[in-house]
Amino acid sequence: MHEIAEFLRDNPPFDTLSEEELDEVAAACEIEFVEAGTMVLEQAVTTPGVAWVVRRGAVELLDGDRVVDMLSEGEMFGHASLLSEWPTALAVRAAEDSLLYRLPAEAIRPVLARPAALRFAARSLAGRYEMLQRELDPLAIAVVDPARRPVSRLLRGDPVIAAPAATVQEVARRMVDASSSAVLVDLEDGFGIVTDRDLRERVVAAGVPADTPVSQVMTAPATTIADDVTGADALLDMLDRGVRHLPVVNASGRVIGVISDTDLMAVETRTPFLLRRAITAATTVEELAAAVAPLSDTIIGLHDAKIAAASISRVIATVYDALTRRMIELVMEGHPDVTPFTWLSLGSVARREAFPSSDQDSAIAWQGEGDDPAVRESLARVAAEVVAGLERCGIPRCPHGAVACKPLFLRSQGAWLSAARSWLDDPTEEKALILVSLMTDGRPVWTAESGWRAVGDVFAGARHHPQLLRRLGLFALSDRPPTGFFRDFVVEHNGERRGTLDIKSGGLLPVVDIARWAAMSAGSSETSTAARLDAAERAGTLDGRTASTLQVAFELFTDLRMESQIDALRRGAKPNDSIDPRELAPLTRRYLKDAFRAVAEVQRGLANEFGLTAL
Amino acid sequence: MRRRSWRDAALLCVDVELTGLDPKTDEVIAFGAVPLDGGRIRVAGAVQGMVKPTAGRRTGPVEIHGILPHDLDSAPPLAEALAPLAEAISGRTPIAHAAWVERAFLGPALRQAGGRLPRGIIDTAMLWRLHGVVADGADPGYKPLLTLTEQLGLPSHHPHQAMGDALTTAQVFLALATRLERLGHGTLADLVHADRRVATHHHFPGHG
Repeated sequence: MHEIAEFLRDNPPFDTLSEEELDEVAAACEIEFVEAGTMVLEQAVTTPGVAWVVRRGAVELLDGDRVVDMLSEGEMFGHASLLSEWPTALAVRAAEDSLLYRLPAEAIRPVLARPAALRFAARSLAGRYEMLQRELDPLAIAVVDPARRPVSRLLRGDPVIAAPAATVQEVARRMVDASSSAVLVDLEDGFGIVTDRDLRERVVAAGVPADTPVSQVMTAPATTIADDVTGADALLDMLDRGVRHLPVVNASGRVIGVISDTDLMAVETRTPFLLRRAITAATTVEELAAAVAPLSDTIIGLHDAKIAAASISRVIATVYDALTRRMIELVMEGHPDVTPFTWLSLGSVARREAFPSSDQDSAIAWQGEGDDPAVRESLARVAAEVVAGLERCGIPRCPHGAVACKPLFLRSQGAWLSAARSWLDDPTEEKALILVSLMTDGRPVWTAESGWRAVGDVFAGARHHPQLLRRLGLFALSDRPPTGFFRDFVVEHNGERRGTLDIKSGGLLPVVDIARWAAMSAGSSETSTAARLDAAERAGTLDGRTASTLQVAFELFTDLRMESQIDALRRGAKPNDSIDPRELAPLTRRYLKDAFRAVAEVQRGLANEFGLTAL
Repeated sequence: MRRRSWRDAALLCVDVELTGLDPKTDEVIAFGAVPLDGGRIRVAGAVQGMVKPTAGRRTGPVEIHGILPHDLDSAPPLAEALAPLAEAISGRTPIAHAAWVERAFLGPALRQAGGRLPRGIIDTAMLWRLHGVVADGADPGYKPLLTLTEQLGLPSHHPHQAMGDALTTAQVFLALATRLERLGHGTLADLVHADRRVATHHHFPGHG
């Protein structure tokens, strides 16, 4: 049974055994064959007295009807229950025709009891617990992740409301009595708000007398949020506005409480606020670079706190926005007389789909019409300083030159609008499709005046330009899912070397491009991929099934790319977009494969629609 | 009794290495066998051994089975060497790939060791043909063991060594018997008499 021993030796925990011990385990083994779909182990049976190792094929772990994991060659199951003597947490069903090594308790127990194997055993048990907590019980997710719950569920008691004439001292006492960190001031047509921080900074530190009316130290009107907003969105809203408290208003307009940042996050994830404050407080480029340096740790912290990848993307985008704004303010100190302009963020940051690897894509639209070389040159200098400053903060410039200091991305507002109209009429113009795509994503992050009219709005009329739409549609098909990955490698375990795949160009970009095209066809001006897909579905430019397929695929690609980049950050490596499918858990690998296949199918469907059959 | 599922039967998968393929002049020089109980291969019950050939005989195709003459110098003579196999096979239905070899060589050899080869033998080469007939309506004909392991996606153990081939054959048997069972041919008798069903197919191709 040399071959059985050889096989086991390659897989933990057997890799810690001596030759003799391996031979003993191999000799005790029984071999069974199960056809795909056969139940191997039922859920909640008392300890089966056996552990299995998958020799060939794959098995699924099931909670009821739901597949929660998939094990492939070399992986063990049944041992957690055997060790803990708990009933089996999950049922096991053959996902493929499988050959299984069945190891009796008396052979496997001594193996798992060895110190070297204990780590393996402990990990399996912990994994089991975590899986139960996270995967099996949606309620458990809500408990551990306030980011996914509506803020109405996160409130800790009724709001404390004071009259405008109440003194600072009274308000402070009520705050302490109610263990609340904020008090609302009833202004009849709205609310003001006073927080414990305000009391420290505006009253105590400023030496304001204790009998001062609260109306003199409050912030009014207070920004409110609706009670059905998720914790994650509330948090981003706070981060964006730089506030730590938001009154929560129900559907009938009544304030039902005040949500604070501490209600929303675990301690370690609160650092985005510190980060943001440090950014706002920075007075030099060096200070800005120092302020944003902890971003990597913050991102890792958010990930550890089980904040969804999409939310982390938005935190990164929000921090980049704040950084860009502050950078422009600092640079402008040296150029006080430049023509007023609007700074646009483009690309993934503009869509609030940023990753640790995201670079800067930007554009400037200055107030005015046509071209003015003097204005253009002075603004090019400003833009060059901003772009260089952001690079010093660790955000590389777009390698394709989509940055505000390049002539193509530095125009007057009038010039942008007329360019946009000409692209509508003649999409064959050089770079028209790329520019349309970039500008449709564009989002102003800093503006010197309020007269900004979004260039993207011009494209609201794009649906009346079938020529442009068709070309944009074809353009959206230029990034393809990695089809070499389609081969059934969950089944094929021949150890053949397979390359890594690019999750960005093969997964995210195809969805981003289709969503942009579909939203434009629908006349929508949404700028995030998820919102665009929703809009396209509502307008009927994508059917419901296609839209939801793309949503799910996009979410999966986002999760995997974030996971892999955060891994890189943890190792101190440079985050990139390549993912090795062999390093993925089997179930994830299967989902990924399905997602690629689904996206490729949508692309094929669109290609047919456009009369392009060669895809 | 004839309707008994193969899973309830006591089985023994056997493979032998020979000096050649002529039953009149060639002989068994190595054997491997592994029992199956309750539908599972029981590795702990495996028996294997080498046999000292009659004086003056060569070992046969070394390039196939890798057994050199001096490997067999210390091996016991046939009657003694096969005693464990004679004991293991007693009361079990044998399984072999291309079972005519085992019938032709093991029958006489086991008699010398004081045992006997049970009459009904399951032939995995024939199960493959039966599976073709039942599942696809076509007889794929004889295929060597390695081809079957590849087609079934099973791992193969040291090919052309008696123990390795016995184990590989046992795995092939499990896969085929499991599938045939689902297709309504899962009794022990169905498997032992697979040749009859395959012959029927050739006489009445439309049948079944």
